[in-house]
Amino acid sequence: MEKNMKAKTVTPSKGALIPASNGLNPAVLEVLKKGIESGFFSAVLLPVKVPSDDSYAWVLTSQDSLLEKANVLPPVMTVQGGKALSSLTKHGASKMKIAAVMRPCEIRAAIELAKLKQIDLENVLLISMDCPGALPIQNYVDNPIEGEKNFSDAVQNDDVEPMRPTCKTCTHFSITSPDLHIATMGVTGDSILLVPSSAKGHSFLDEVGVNVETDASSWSSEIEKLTEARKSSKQKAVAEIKEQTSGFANFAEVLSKCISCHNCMSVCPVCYCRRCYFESDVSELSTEQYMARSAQKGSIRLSQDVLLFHLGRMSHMTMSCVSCGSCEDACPVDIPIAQIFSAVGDDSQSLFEYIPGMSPDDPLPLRIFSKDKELCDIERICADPLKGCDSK
Amino acid sequence: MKKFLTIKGDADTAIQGLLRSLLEKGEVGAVFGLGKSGDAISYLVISDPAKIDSLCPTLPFMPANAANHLSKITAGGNLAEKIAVVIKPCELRGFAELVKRESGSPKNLLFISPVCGGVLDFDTFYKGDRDKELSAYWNDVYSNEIPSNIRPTCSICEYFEPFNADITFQPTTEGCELYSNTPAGVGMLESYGEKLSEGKLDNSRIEKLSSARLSNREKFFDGLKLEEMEIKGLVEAFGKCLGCHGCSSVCPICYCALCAFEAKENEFKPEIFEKELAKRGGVRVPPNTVFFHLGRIAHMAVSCVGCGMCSDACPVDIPVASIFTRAGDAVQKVFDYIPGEKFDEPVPLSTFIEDELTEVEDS
Repeated sequence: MEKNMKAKTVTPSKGALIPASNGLNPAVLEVLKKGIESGFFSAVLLPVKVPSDDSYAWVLTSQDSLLEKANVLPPVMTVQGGKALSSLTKHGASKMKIAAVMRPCEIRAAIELAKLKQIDLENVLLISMDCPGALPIQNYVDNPIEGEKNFSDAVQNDDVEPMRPTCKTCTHFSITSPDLHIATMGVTGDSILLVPSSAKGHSFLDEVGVNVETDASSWSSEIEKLTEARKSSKQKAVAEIKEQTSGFANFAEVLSKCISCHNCMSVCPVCYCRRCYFESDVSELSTEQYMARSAQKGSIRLSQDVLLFHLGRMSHMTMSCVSCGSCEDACPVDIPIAQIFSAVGDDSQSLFEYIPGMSPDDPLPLRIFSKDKELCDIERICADPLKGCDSK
Repeated sequence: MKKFLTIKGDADTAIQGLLRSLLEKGEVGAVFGLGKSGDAISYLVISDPAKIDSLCPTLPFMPANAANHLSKITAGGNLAEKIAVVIKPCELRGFAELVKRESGSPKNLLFISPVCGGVLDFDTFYKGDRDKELSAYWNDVYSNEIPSNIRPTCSICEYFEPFNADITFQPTTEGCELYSNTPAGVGMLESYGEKLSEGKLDNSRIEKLSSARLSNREKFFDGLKLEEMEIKGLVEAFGKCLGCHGCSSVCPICYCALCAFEAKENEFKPEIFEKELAKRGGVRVPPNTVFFHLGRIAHMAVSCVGCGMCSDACPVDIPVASIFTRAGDAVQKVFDYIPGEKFDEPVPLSTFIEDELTEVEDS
């Protein structure tokens, strides 16, 4: 396969500076309202406080009364944004133009789902923002008022500690969306910087009447700096989780609390199968198999397929895992499942030099085959095996 | 009068002893029950008598409703050897409901079930000081009180004495009392090799506890105010739902291979979203959050055994089990039906009597 790490490393150099003296949310909502008024899009998909004020839900709307309750960067990730956009467009492109405002890992999931034909990005303007992370949903729902405060304090102080484990180690917290990115980190003076990266993004900013003329280098250098710092804390965390799960016995031990609810799978944006293979008849045991296994081993643990399920799910989705952490949020028994999947995802993705969700144009590694370059470091299927892949 | 056996000492050890002897004498081919696997607690199938000591027959914990496991093991009705099944009363009821739906078979199963004090919820069990919580639990149980650290639905459960058990057991401070309810139960107790006594379970104790739980139940249901909820109340209760459907996947009654609410019929084309948006000014995406829960209630309320698994599996602490148990109670009363009371009673909605429900239908 082609190595496509090279794609999408160019950071746009200019953006439109927008005043945000009341913070990120009102400033962004203002721009979105202009987008609706100008007719550039008819509605926006974004997180809105639920009526009971104890969480957020994705809402497609153009109505002021709902936009007032919207929060483009809520303290928690409820439904993964990619999943929400899939619900909206999996049966065809939206007829009306919409804008979707999401965290970077949600945008990346949306792009993976587009590749998997579960999202149609036509007529969708994707807007991402610099992401400080999200709180574990359990902590938030325990006390939403305190959760709001903890989150805003953490954002204010650049404190990543209260965020979810995979957020703390995320190195793609500022991945620019294919269309438009909202830059906040390294942007000073009570402002935000709207950085377009596609023709669609540019024409949107034209339409709402803002000029793309501010140099974006203080933002991009800040992101570079933060990413480097994040990489080292990630290294440490990944080493820890690998140590904790290394070898069959340790891995089985970490998963031993699993109650087989499959919540991890059902909230995963990448696990899009309507009927999971591991929930189908083929992976069920017969009465005789249960009894024979028990007789052979002396005793068996139920469910019998805990390891098979997690390893199978891993092998099915690891290449596209965006480390969003939704699986861990949804686990009722607190298995560090996102940390495990994220660490494995990193390894399998780097084997193909693939970063999921960076660009709709990067093909999924397992969908393509390149005779000369395919995994030659492992398989040595090269033009000239004796001389290696670069021998041509 | 029933035949019963009192085994002195630790209650777990006592039941393990009975089960070991059943296995050793070939009375059963395997034992099913809650046990230790590593640090975690899971259901086990044990064939080797030497492994019986990993069983925790009295542990007040429910990592899954055992009915779901039993359904998988026995579906098809081909179980060729006997299994002694240690199971909690609501799990046994859940299994009976599955058997009625041809999703399991009681053939060759011998049920050993406790007078149940309730189970600790996941958070208490996994995050709390487990030894302390368990000792508080048993103190309450032995002094005939409702433990304060059990699942909310356990504290209002009125069927904590099992239906359909071959043996009913009751842990005491001195050991364990095991009462036979069927000839098979007598056979199991006799195989232990000690002389059986005649007697019956101390009903006064159960009745006292039962009335305490029933008054709890009334207060609890009144507090929910389900009748006043309406759509607005449901939107508020289920607003934070993530749509993981964990409540449905751990439910012993939700046995459908593909839930109607996860089927393609409940996904919508963009035109539908657009139409709804024009009509209401805003659409929650994915849609149908309340619809899913209402639909699930409609599908399973008549058989809801109030086990509380759904609440434990909910990542955002929606009191699913409380709401569903309340709805179940109302529906079950209409049909005079106790889910899981019998194995061979038809499910109300699968039968029709011409002159039924006249009080509701306005004839």
